[in-house]
This record gives sequence, structure tokens and C-alpha cells, in this order.
Amino acid sequence: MAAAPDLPFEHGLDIKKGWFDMASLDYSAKLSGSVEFDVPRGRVVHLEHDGSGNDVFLPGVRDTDMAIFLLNGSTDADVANPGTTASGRFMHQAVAPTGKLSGVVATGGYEIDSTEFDDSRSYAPGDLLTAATGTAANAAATAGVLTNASVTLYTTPVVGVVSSGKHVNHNGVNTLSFWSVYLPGSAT
Amino acid sequence: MPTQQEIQLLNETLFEQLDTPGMQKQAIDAVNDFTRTKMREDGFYRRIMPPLTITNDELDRQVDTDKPVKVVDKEPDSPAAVSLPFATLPINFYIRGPRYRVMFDRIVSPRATKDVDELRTYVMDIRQVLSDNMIKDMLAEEDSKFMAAVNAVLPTPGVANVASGAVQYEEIYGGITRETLVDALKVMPRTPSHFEVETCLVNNLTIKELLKWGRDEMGGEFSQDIIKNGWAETNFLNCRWIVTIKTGLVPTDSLFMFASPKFIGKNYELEPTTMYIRREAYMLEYFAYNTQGGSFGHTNGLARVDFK
Repeated sequence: MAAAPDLPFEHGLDIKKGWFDMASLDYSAKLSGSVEFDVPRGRVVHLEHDGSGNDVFLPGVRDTDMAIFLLNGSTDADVANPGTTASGRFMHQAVAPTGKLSGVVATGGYEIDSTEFDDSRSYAPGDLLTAATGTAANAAATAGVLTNASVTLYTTPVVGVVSSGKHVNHNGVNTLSFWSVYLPGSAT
Repeated sequence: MPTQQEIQLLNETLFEQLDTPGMQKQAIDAVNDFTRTKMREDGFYRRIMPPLTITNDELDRQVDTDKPVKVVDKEPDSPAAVSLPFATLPINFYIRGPRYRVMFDRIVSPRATKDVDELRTYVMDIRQVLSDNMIKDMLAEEDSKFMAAVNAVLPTPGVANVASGAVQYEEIYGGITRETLVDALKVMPRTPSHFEVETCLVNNLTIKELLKWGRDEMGGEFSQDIIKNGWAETNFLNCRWIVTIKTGLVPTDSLFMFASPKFIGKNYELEPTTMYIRREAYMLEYFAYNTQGGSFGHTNGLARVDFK
């Protein structure tokens, strides 16, 4: 059976305030090779260097990581063009795109409406948000997903403060509105 | 080379265009003409796989994304013809043609900003100097993407390629001699596609090994010419030779070989290289960008040899 396609707006960010402008703070990097799942648009990532010293994104934040909210998902058409079939047969080798994703940086001063949050919880204005890390396939549903659960100021890294909170957007998708902030957790 | 007076006139013309409301377009065009020429001359990716202009109408719309995608048909394989005795019918096969996707991304130069009064103190051709660095950045990125894809197809010497079942990346011992170079040109035709090499890509250090060839190896006046004048771009061994200074992308003593681009894939240009220029009060900003997409639909037209 063929895989069901996503609609273009099922995962992603609407940046209600603070973007787009030439001076907007964003950042681009490839996803770390250690991430075993497809990372949708809207997920929170942080920056690290891989073994070769290249910038790579990893889902979620920990310690003093700076949050970056992804504008692209790892399978977007301007990010990846896989050319090998599921059974390993060659279809093509892409020259472009290169695998780079882009996102807005938490200190950039944005109000964001994201689909990537734990919608089983209640959110009130002023709630602090964090996003768990994870690279294994079994973390696909939680890594980089916003939540207000178990947030302790200056112990848990905070990536946002809830503004208007949870609602169903114009596409009929549950979203969470918040302001991006950077409040580091405890350093290791 | 333009004279200093001509250069100052060019700079003044650019400033005048930027100063006049509604004239930004002309300023952009003035830089664009120059920019596009340099791209064609300097990027080896564009010379090996010349970009094909693609328009909105030619894009293939997708359900799950609004980003540009082009689907390209590939020549299908078919069962071989056989000899049969009389009163025997042929086997059937159902036609299924393979396809592949070309997707796009953007190459952007750094955005430069400058106070225009500081620019007035330069006496060189400011359009050329300022856009040159950006073009070099873009060319390096373009060629880097191309070589990353080539290296993905040809990752390890001596290992058969997944698609062709033939070894397309070999190590040949004995240095760069007439014999080893001719042996290198046999790698690509050994694949089931039997392509011949159309273009050879080496770096500027590797090509100097050819200068060591004697008159008996190189042959007559050609040998005399390169020993006097150095290597000039020319056809050699019935191949076009491209020499690059990008030794980080094309290692020394490596030879990359490419068949005709029609056998390799597509390099589409959705947005040609464009220079964005804006002046706000006395601050000038500009950057260059283009939108390209490329895929190798068929990899039998790629080969590499490392000379040891």
C-alpha cells in the first residue's frame, strides 16, 4: 500500500510576528546523521558540531542549547531528494538539494504558531516551554516537541513563553502560539 | 583592461542609477550581464552539465509540497531480442518507464553592506571587484554540491557501482603515463552502457604531470607547444579537458570522467543568477542568488581514476 502523503500545512510554523525581514535571525545546517527519524517542520533543534567539525542540528534542547525552530522538515523537497528505493535500488543521485534545513533562532524575537507541541496538555499565557532531546527512532513523536511539562526555571532549558496558547488554526490543525525566548538550563 | 577614467565613469554610472528613483532595475541589469558571463566561464559543474532553463509551466506539481519539483523520464530497459524457430511467438513485457525527481534549492552569496561614501574612494572597477567575491562563493558552492554527488556515486575505489554492477572508480598504478591514461579512459566504456568519456576533470597540479611527457609520448608539435606555453584548454585523447584550481574538490592525481550530459541527468536553472541591490539613504546592500536543481538520473556516465 502506498504511503499516505502529508498536506503541506500539517507540520510547520506560522511566524505571526518578527519575520520575514532581511535582518531576521535564522540559521541553516544539515541534520545530524545520528537522527534516526524524519524531523518535521516546526520541531525544535539545537546546534552541535559533528565529528568533522561541521554544523549539525539535533532535535530538542538540553543544558544551555540555543533553540532553533525549523522552517524546513528533513524530508522537504528543498532539503532532501532521496534516490534509492526501499529495496535498495538506484533511482537517481541528487546534486541538489544538499540536506540543509533552516530555522529561526529563539533569541530572534518572534511570536510563533507551531504545530509541533504536546497537544494533550493545557497551556496558559506565561507558561514556559521546553523541548526534549532524542535521536532514536522511538523518540520521533517527542524529540523537539514543545511542552510545558516539568519545566524548572534555570534547570530546564526554556525555548518559549506561551502567548495566546493552544488553538485550531485556519487549516484545522492544532497549534500553539508562543514567544521565542532563551533561558538556559543548568550547564553540565 | 579599462582605463582608470573608464572605471570611474562606470562607478559614477552605477551610483547615478542607484540615486535615481525607479532606476534600480537598470543597475541590477548592469551587474547581471557581467555576472552571468563569469558563471559560465568559471564553474566546472556548469561546463560538464550545462544548466537548462526551466519555467513554471514545466514544473510538476505535487500533492504534499508546494516546492518546485520536476519529474524526468528515464530510458527504460527492455528484454533482449532472441532468435526463434518458425511458428513461435515472442514473449510479452509490459511497458514501465522509470522516472526520477529533480528538486531545487537556492544558492545565495553573502549579503554585503557598505556606506556609499566609503565606496567613492575606490578607483578600481567597483562592479567587478564587489561581485567577483560573491560569484566565487556561489561557484564554489555549486561545484561542491556537484562533486559531493559524484563522490556519493563513486565512494570507494575497486568496488562495483550499485546501479551498473561495474567498477567505475579505480586506482591505476604507474603514475600518469600514456599507458595509464589510456587505461583510465577504458573504465567508463566497461559499464553496460558503453559510454565514451566526453569530458575529463583534473586539477591544476595533476595536469602538470602531462607536461612531463616526452615528445614520443605526447607527439610532435603538441609536445613542443605545451612545453613552451604550458597546458591550454584543448581536446586531448578525444576528450575535452577541464582544469580546476579547486584542489579541495578534485584531489591531485585524480581524474574524473564524464559522458555527454544527456547520458547523466539534468541540471535545471529555475532562477538565473540575479544580483539584488538596494540603497537606503547612504547604506548600500547587495547579494546574488539563483535557484537550481540537479540529479544524476543515470550514473554509468561517471568514472574516476586515482593514479598511484
